[in-house]
Amino acid sequence: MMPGCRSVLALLALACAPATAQNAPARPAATTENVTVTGIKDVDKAVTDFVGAMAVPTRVAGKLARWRTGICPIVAGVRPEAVKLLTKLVRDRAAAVGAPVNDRDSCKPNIEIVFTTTPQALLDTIFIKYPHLLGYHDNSAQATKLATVKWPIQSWYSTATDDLRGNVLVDGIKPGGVLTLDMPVAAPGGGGGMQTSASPTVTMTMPGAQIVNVTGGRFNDGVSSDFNHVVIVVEPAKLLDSELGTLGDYIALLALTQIEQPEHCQELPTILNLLAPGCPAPPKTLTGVDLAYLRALYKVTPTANFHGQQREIIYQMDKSLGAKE
Amino acid sequence: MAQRSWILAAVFGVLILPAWAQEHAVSTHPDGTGDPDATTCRPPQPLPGSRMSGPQVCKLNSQWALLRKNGQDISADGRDIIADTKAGSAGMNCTMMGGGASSAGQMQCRSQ
Repeated sequence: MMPGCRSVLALLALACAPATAQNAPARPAATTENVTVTGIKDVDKAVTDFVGAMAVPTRVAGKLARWRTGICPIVAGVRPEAVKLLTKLVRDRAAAVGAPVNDRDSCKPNIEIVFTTTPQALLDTIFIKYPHLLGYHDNSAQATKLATVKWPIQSWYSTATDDLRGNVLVDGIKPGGVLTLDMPVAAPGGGGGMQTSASPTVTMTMPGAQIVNVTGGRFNDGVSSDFNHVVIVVEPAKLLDSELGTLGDYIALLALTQIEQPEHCQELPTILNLLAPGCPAPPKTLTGVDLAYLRALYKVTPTANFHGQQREIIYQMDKSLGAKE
Repeated sequence: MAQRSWILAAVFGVLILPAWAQEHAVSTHPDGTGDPDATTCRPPQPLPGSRMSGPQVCKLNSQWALLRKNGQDISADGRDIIADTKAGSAGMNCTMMGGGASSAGQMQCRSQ
C-alpha cells in the first residue's frame, strides 16, 4: 500500500455520511456453488462475450490485475454490524475464489469501502489529496475523467507492475531522477557485428524512466499486474431497494477484479446486471458465472499476455459452466 | 581564460539545469488558471495560533481549480481541505436548521 493511505482512511471516514445504508437490512450471504446457465443457446459465445466485455487490462503492463498480497478490506459509513458483515463477506468471497486474504485483525487496509451520500465530494478530495488512488493517468484530463462518479457503486484501482526479478513498481508513481543509458551504436556499414569496447556509444537521457526486467517473449514477458489499492464508493440513497448482502456481493466482485461496469444487461446471469439499466430481475447474489470468472482470474498465468489471459479465463469458465462438455 | 569560463559555464549549466527545470510558479492564492498539468506552489503561511509557518503547498493547477470551484482551500499546515476564506462567501447567508440532542442539524445557505 502507498504511504499516506492510513491518512486516507481518516479522510474517507470524515467524508462519508452514515446515512440510509445504516437501515438496510442485513442478510446472511448466500453461498453460490452450483453453476447453472439456462436459456442461453450458445454458452461458449456468451462466455467469450462476457470475458471480452468485462476484462480490463492495466494501462502499464497491459495484463489483468489481481491481488497478490492478502486482501484487507475496511468499511466506513455504515453501522458497526454492517461493517462486520461486509468485511466478512468480502473476505469469504476472496477465499472462495482463491484470492489471498490477510487474516490478521490489525492488517493494513488495501480495500476501502465507503458509504457516502456525497460521493462526488469524496472523489474531489481524493483527486486533490491522493490522485494516485484514482488509478493510472497520464494527465489532469484523464484524472478528472477517472474522478467522475457514474455509478451508485463504483471502484477505483491503483495497480502495480511486478517484473521478472520481482521488482514491484506502483503504476503512475513517477520516480525522481534521470535515467541515462549508454547505447552502443552500430558502426557505419556494419551488419550488426560484435560490439567492442571501442565501439561508439550514444547517451540517452530519460527523465522519470523506470527499468523493468522482462523475458522478451511475446506470449509471456515475465511481467504481471497486481492490485495495490482499491477504493469502492457506495451511494446508499440510490440503492434503497437492494439488501446489504446483495450490495456486499457486488462490492466483493469489484474488490477482487478490475471490470468495466456494463452499460447494458449481460446475457449471462451476473450480479453486474444489478446496476445495468433495464435489467429484469437481476441476480441478488454472486452467480455461478461471477464465481467462475473470479476463480479463473485467480488461476490465470499472471505473466501471460492479455489475450492469452482472456483465453485461459474463457477455457476455465467454459469448463465450469459445462459449455464444452 | 575564455576556455576556463566555458568549462565553468558547462559544469554550472549541468548542475543548475535539473533544479531550474523543476521550478514552479508561485502564488499566494492559486486559482488554477493556466496549464492544468503545471504545478503552482503557495508560499508558507503562518500557522493559526503560532509564530511558525506551515510548509509550501504545491498542487497541479487542475487541483487548485477544483478546490476553488468547490469554495475550498488547503490549510496552512498543508494537511486538510478547508473552506476558502478568500472566496466570495460574503454573499451567502447560512443558517442552522433543526438539530437537537442526538442530531447535528443541517446547514442551509442562500445567496443574499
